[in-house]
Order: sequence, then C-alpha cells, then structure tokens
Amino acid sequence: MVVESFPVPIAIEYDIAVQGGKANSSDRKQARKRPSIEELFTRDRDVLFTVLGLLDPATLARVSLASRSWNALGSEERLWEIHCRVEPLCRNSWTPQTIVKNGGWKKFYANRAKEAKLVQELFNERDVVTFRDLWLTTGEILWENVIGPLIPI
Amino acid sequence: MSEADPEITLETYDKHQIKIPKSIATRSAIINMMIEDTGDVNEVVPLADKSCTLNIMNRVIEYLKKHAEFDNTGADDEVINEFDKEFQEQSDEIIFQTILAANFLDIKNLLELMCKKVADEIKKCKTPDDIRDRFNIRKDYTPEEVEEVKRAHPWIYDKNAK
Repeated sequence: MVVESFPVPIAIEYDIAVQGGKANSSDRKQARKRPSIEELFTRDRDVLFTVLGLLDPATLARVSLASRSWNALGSEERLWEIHCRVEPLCRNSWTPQTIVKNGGWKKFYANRAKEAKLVQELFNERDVVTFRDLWLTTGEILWENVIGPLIPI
Repeated sequence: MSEADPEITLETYDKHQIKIPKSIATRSAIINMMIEDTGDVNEVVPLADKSCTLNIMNRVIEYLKKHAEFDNTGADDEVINEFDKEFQEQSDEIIFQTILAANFLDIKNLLELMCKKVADEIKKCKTPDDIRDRFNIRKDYTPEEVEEVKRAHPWIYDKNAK
C-alpha cells in the first residue's frame, strides 16, 4: 500500500489567528474601557486595510507580533503585493512565477529579506568600504537603501 | 456658482434632522447619488449606517463646510493642513466612527485623513507591546508562537536576542 504524503497547504500558516476568543469576563470588561480598533473595524474590514496599507514593512512586523488576529491582518497578501511591487528589496526581482514558488507575496518579501540579511552578515566582517563598493559596482542597491538598517523591535 | 443652493435635510442614524446646503451635501458621493435618485431636494435623506450619528455627522459636516470654503477661497495648503491636523486630534472612538462614516458616505479625502491618523498612531508604537497598550489588544501568543512569527519577519531583529 502506498501512503502518499501531501504537501501542507500554505494557507494553514495564515490560519493561526481566530481562536483567541476565550477571554474570561474580567478580561472582557477591561477590553470595554477603551474602544478596540478590531471591534470597531470588524464591521468593515476594507477600511482596516486602508489603514494597514499606509504602514511600512517594519511597522507591519510589529503589528503582526501584537496578537494572533493582528498577525492575520498583517499577513494579508494584498498589503504585501504593494510592498513587493514598490520596495527596492523586491521591486525588480518579483515575477508571477517567483511569487507562486515562494508561497505568496509576504513569503517572497520575507525570503528576499532573509537573503539580504545573509549578504549583510557576510559583509559585516569586512570593512564597510568593500561592502559599499561591491554593491555599487555590481549595480545593486546598498543594504541600507534596501531595507534600511535592521529595525530593532 | 450663481444657481440657487437649496437646503437638503439629512436624517442621522439616531433620528435627528440636519439641514445643510446642497453644495455641501453633494461632496459626499453617496448623498449626491441619493439626491439624484429621488430628484427631489425636499425629500429627507436617511443615513442608514450606524456610524452616522448626530455627533459624528456634525463633525463630518464641519469638515465638508471648511473644505468647501477652502476650495472657494483658494486657501493656502498651510491653512488647510493646519485645519486637517487639528481635525485629526480626537479620541479614538470619534476617529474610528468618523472613518466608518466617511467610508459609508464616500468622502475620499476625509477617509484618507482619518486613516492616516490611525496609521500614524500605529507607527508611533516602537514595539509590539506599545501597539498592544495603545490599541488595547490582548496578548494571546505563546512564547513559541512569538518566535515563529519573528522568524516569518526576517527584516526585523530582536535586540534582546543579541
């Protein structure tokens, strides 16, 4: 008998949100004190994405780290499609095929950032001038211009 | 400009009536459409969205009137920006409701202005903890999940980890 192993669909990872609703009553009371952005925007998710669309990748990362449901919001593909199309890190390297291969826009962005980070770590050990020269002469963009200095969180 | 500017009556979600000049009302694409649909300026225009309460509508109308005035007088950008900036300074509750109302009424520049305010507030938060505090979000992550989410965002680094 042959047992086929199916690849895990990517969508599962985006699904980690949602089950966060088991707050006890005192938690709920606390949440009532101030208007919660989620509560107000559940009526209109498109509006929420208008807000999130104004955020840069670094801020979106902080948003994703805030809670499960915010991670789901911050992983919305349409936000990352925009960043992949405009950010220097990705804008010249994406193709429909690479997006599919990487498992979506956000994953593609993340993989490009990972590569850039590796390059930076490699060159960190040499002097800055070499690093600059190499990137400039190969026509590539400087790391600092690509995603800025690494963002502390 | 020379043609008459009849008054339009709006009925807010909480059943108050507001009278405003047609030239102001039609700055909302939705109200404009509703007036054109009935073809009768005397008919009351009901605002069916929860966000369109008297309180919020008064603010929306204040914004529309001011911007109509800016357009008519050709005001400096500086003056407009100053008004906009002051208009943004409100409690979260009012900001959120204004966004929902502007979205419902299809008033693009007001929607953009208020969304930008919320985005700026999020940007001001320098850590995920700040975001949770500012927007009253409950932390529901396990430590393992936090690590996983961090790995999914390789363009940031954890300064505590180094």
